[in-house]
Amino acid sequence: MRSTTNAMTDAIRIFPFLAPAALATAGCQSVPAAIFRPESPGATAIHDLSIYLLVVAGIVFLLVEVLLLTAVFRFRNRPEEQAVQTHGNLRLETGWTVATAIVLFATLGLTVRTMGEASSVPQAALPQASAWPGDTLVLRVVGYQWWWKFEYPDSQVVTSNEVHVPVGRPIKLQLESADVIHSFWVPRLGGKTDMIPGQVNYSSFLPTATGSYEGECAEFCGTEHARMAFKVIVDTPSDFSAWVKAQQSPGAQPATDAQKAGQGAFLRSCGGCHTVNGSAAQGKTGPDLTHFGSRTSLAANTLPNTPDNLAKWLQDPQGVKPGNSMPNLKLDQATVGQLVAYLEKLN
Amino acid sequence: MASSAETWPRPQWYEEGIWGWVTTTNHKRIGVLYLCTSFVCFFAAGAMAMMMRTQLMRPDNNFLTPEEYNQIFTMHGTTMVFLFGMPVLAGFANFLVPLMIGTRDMVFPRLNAFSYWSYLVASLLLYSSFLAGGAPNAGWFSYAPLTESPFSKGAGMDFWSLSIIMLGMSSIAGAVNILVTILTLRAPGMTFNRMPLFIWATFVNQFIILVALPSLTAAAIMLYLDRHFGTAFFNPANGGDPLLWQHLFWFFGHPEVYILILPAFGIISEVIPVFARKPIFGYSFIAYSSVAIGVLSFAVWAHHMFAVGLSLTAQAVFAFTSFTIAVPTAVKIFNWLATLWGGAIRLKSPMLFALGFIGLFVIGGLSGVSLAVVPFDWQVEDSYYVVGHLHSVLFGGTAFGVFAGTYYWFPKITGRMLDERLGKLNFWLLVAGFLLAFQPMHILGILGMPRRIWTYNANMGWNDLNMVSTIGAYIIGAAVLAFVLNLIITLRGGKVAGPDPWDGWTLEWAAASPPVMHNFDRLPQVRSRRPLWDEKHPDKADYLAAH
Repeated sequence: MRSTTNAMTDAIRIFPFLAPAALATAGCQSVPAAIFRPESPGATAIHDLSIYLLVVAGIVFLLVEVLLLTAVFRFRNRPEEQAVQTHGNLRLETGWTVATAIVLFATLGLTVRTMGEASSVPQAALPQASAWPGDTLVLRVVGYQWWWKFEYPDSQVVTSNEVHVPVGRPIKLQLESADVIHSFWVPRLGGKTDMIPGQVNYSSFLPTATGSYEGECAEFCGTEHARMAFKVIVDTPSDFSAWVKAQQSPGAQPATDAQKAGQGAFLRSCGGCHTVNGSAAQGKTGPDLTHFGSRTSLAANTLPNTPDNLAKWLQDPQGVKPGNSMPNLKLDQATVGQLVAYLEKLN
Repeated sequence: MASSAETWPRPQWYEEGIWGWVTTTNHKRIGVLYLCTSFVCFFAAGAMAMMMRTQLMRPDNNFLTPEEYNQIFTMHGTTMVFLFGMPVLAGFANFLVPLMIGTRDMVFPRLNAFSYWSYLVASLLLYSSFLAGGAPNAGWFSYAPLTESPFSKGAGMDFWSLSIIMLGMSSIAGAVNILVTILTLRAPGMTFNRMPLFIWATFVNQFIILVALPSLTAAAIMLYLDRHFGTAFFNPANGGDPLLWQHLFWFFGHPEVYILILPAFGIISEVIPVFARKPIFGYSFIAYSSVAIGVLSFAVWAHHMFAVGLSLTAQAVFAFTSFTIAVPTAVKIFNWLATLWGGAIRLKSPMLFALGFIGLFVIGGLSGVSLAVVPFDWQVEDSYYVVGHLHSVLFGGTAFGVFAGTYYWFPKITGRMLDERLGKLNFWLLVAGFLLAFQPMHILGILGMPRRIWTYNANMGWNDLNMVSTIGAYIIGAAVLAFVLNLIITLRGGKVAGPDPWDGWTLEWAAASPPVMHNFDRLPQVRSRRPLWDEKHPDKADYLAAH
């Protein structure tokens, strides 16, 4: 597959007016969710198709604007008698109708071809395990207002809002919703698929480079649709195995006094909604926090996971993410400190 | 300019007091009521757009709460589509159809009044939701099950569904009225092939309304039944199907796009020939391509649903139909360009907006084709790319068309000419604002920004483009202020227009400005598509040459 930069350079050599698009692409290099930085075969196929679209649309756009401006400047303010009283020209009109149709249906051909490339497994076969390569990793994703639950059926791991996958292996996504419609979208890894209550959708991607990828809910799902993001962390195979192993273990036991006090407070105030495996906290309403300390972000990717931010969140969840389901528990300063100590230890 | 009230012919239908306006069944008055009400709604929805852009100007902004933002974007979309877009075009149709086909009034005048008043009541009902504890907040598309009672507990969705039901009845009644008027009341000699292109576009448009609106109206009734009478059409918890809502909604929703754009095509097809001093190039292609669009518009709805998990075969079929409908749309652009070519172009304000329409609508047309490219759509669907696209179509297209029509027919409706200098200011501000507000949105979608988010993190690389877009929105606000100023100045004492200020060719320019109650004292003979050209140039009359 051709790299982003090469496809773009070729395109600019042929069509210099694409330079602004090139700048935009260069600018994309620092944008974490740009579809112009594909890192999977599917996303790359779509990216290459979008460069073609940009070129064709750019040509048509220029053609229309040049004709429009030429006509206006050439024929403006002429004496009325010079206006030619023609009513049309059947051959000309048939000509541009056919030309338009040819350009459009050529694009349709590429569309259908790329549909196949971008979804490597035929959709009808998606639910069947036999249609997939043997090393496929199955990931069940459930959308909640406004967070994500990720389950690995093979390893029994459950996590939320931040998911790890190994590089170079096909990932089969089983997408569901617990309440309203959400949509799973990691722009750099592929197109989006809706998560619809009462039905299971399937999608897939094959990550080609390690790193952290921004994911978002793409379907309006209520008050905090904006704050329903997640991260996909693509690991090397050995890092991934290590991560799975760590996730399979129960949550770390508190060691210091502060952590122990934090666990007590957690069981009192938080365990009704959240689970920490290996403790009495088994609530299912909110995200599983068994390995919360190992995550890089909190509140569905609203803030980086730092002790300060966590304290801010615990003190005023409605101020950080207005409308979310976690109430303000009116915790005092000391309890917040203990909870932070306990939660950050859960790595 | 001196006040010229003495030379301004005020017809009886202008003069009667409030009671006269409330009880009227005259098409001109109902048209004026439609136009005034819809422009008020346009200003309200525009103010809401400014609030949204102010919130999104910076990351992590707290100008609005998420709940306020969601209500505002829902009301902005619902208002622009149902309370501005459709009624403003209904207003033009009401005022102009009888004049352009050379008759006294609509065929069902009282049904016409019913359409207007149910539109007004539905608008007031929708806006009263702000006073009743919260406006609807699930988007103009109102996807189930977010709109079902477990997830939408306030009364907002009830206000939404009830006013949509009323608006549906209003539009369907209006469609029947306009269709029958065009079918039965055309002046002697005006065959279908001699109708002005605005009438063609309006005719096809009302046909689309007649077929599409029942789907939405039925869906809104079903939603109301779900919420209050225990049915489960769309609620999966009780065996319903959320995708049923999407099919019913988009079976209306995509034809709706053509409902909003076809009359604008019609307006442009009237304005461009008059100001290029040439007949329209390829009348039949433009008329029949509208018919093709009308028919095909019912076969493309699932391109709004490429991410819901339809089979690849179904997606390919809807991609095919969507590409097909792009052909008749693109053809019109070339016909307008060919009309300009070889003309004697007069750059008056109606013409500027019409030229702006061609130059800007093409952006929305092209990004629209890209959305039919299924895999590309998987990426940009529900991102800001779509927001950029739809505003390029509905603002670059419909709004520029409406402004062109307003500057063109304002003299006919009021008897006074809008000011040219303010008109030009209005135009250039609108072009600059359009480009700055909506084009960064295309890029933001490619940079991964989802739609309908009330805020965003600072590290996503979206900050600068959002700032540019907000500045553009404020410039659009300034353009609209220039327009309002123009309206006020003109109505207080603008230049008197006379019956035919643009040297027009269609029948409405044979009536006085404003027209008398019964429209025509004398109706020109219709022997071609340009009856007034024939009268003014008997030696070069269109009917002398076969075409």
